[in-house]
Amino acid sequence: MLKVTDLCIKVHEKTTTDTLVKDVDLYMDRGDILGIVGESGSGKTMTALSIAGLLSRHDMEKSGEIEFEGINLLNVERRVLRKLQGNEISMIFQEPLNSLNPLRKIGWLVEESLRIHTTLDKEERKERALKALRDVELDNVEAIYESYPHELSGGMRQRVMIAAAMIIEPKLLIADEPTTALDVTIQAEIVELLKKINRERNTAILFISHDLSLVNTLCENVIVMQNGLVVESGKCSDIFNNPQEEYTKKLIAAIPKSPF
Amino acid sequence: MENVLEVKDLYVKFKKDKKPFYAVDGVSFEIKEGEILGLAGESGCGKSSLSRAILGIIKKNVTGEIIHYTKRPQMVFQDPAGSLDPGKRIGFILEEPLKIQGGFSKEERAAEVMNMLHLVDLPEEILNRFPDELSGGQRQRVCIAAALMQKPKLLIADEPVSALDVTVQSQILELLKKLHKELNLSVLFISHDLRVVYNLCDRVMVMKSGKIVDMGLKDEVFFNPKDPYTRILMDAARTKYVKN
Amino acid sequence: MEVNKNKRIKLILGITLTGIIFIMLLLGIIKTPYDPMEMSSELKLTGASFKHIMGCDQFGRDVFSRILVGVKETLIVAGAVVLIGSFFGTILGTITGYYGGILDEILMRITDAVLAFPSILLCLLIISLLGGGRNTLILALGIAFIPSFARIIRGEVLKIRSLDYIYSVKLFGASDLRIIFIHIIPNLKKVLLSTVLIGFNNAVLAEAGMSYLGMGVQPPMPSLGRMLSEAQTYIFTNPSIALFPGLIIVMMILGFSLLADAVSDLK
Repeated sequence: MLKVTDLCIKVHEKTTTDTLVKDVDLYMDRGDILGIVGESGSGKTMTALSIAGLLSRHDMEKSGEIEFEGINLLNVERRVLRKLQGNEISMIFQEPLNSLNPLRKIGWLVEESLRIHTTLDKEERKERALKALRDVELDNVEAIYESYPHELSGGMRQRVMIAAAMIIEPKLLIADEPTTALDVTIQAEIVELLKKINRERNTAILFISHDLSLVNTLCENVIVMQNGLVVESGKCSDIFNNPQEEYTKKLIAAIPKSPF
Repeated sequence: MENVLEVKDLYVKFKKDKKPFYAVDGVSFEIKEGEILGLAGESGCGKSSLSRAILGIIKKNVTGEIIHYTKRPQMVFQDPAGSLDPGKRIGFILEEPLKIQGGFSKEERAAEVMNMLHLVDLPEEILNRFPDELSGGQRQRVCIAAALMQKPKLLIADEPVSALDVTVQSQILELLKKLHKELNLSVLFISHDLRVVYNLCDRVMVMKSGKIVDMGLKDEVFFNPKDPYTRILMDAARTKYVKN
Repeated sequence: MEVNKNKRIKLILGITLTGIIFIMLLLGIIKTPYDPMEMSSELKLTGASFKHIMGCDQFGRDVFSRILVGVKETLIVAGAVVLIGSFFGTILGTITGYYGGILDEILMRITDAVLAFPSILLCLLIISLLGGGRNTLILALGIAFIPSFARIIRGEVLKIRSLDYIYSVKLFGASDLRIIFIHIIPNLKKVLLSTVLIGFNNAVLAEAGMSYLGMGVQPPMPSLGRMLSEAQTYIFTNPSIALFPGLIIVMMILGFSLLADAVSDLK
């Protein structure tokens, strides 16, 4: 479904060129959960943004191929890309408060991609939105539909983000550190929710995180990135139990020992 | 062992939507000499208000007793970028606590700074740099060094590794352990990461809505929690960190 | 890349324009080609020539020489005004921002009142009390400029005050004075620099405006505003004597604005 080959992202500033991402390859099928782990500056978010088609085109030089369902996202027309965004590929971010328009009600926000990609009328949209909110295990959805982002807690906001991203049933959900800003108890719930979505709807999830143990509990496969390069990739269990590269070993050693 | 700090019936009151609201709601505990006491809790539970009240940063609407048995404690903050004066060189920042304390000659100050640099494993070149020229880990080392310049007996560390990368986190935690051992330093360690709390601390307190709901030796709190909330917290951590 | 180029153009243009103004200022101090006060009946309202590159005014005085001195006068007034405004503004803003509470409340209400009062009116009031002239103008405009400086500085101090590094210095036992002078004021540098440059612009305009109204620099001393106001009568017959002072004011403002912009863009 998704195949990235030799992805490079370069930024030109004055006379120097920074390579943010270099020769990244990855492959995902329907229903896969792939994790990308790395520390800050590893290029994991850049990779995710370019797959979502969200890197603006002029200031960065991108090369390689991002093939989604047979279409190369890197040189496709804007029009085609827009059709895919929100429809086939959705994304959720770290801080839901920053990614929800504070002036709009939750209902409006959740319905946004229906408004863009479908011709449903008002009632049908509301029905779909309420269902989507119920699907992310929110209670009292009628009230939430009418409230504003700041009136909800962090965990509820992240659920709303997921509902908005999932309303059109995309094939790929990109989650960029979706639990980092949340409390431990809420984090566990969001992880469970993502697992459920993957299981019930066969949505592929590209999960980006700095937290190795979290990636280990959620993902089947994992890519370890450092300074824009893929250091190691493979099955989570293999990499955790038998890391080959020095950097991966260092990362695993740095995980606080779990008493549980 | 003697106590370095005793807190009795501490309340910190704020006004929220014109209604009084207790960020710290009747908290009592003590920290013994040379112990690391962990304080775990989720955001908004009042752990930051508690530490700031202990240090006297918040004075208004604080009632109860805070008894310091030693010199004033120092603090290490979460964001090392914000806790260093951006316009000063590291050398200046490290000397500042001694200048404020007074009674040191210029040479004595320089010698103390050098000692401290070795203690926190920072190179000498760093003295001439500005905070924004350092990495996150180096900055947090500088913060710790500055906090220890006046030789406090108690250090309050408020989420000191939460803003750092994983590999850097473990280095800073190692440093804290080492300082704790070498200086017989007492530490109040505040964190939301239960694994870190377990690895570092001797005793643990769990805080929720301004109250200490659980307190005891770490194994007791982690594996035999008395309070229902602690149980929820531990279960959440288990789902997060253990693959099923 | 695009952005960087724009920034560089701004900086270069700003430096060039202010450089020209600066050279004119130096010439005005050292030596002008003619005595700017000397009148001559033959040269009345003559246009530009090789001898008098900007022509002569209605009294036959050399416009170029008068502009050189006028630039000096205008810059003295503007500089002094900004100095008064930023000095007292910084003190007020730092005290109110740092201590807060009732003092802050009172001082900020006063600045509100001053800000709400049209500054021209305020200047007129002070000038009518103390009599006209350059020094009164400086005082009047200086007072009118304090509130806006105080506001900006106060905002910045409020921001810095709640940063962790101020807490950590407090925990070392530092006194308020030490915190203010060693840890807060040096960090105001950047904000202060761009505010001063913008304030300087406003002061140039205000000086020109007040002198135009006849309340600033007294004749026969020239200032850019004065020259504009005197040239007004001849605007249709001899536009050049109004054109040159006007042009210099535009250059000055543009130069300082670009410079201020470029400085605030610098990290």
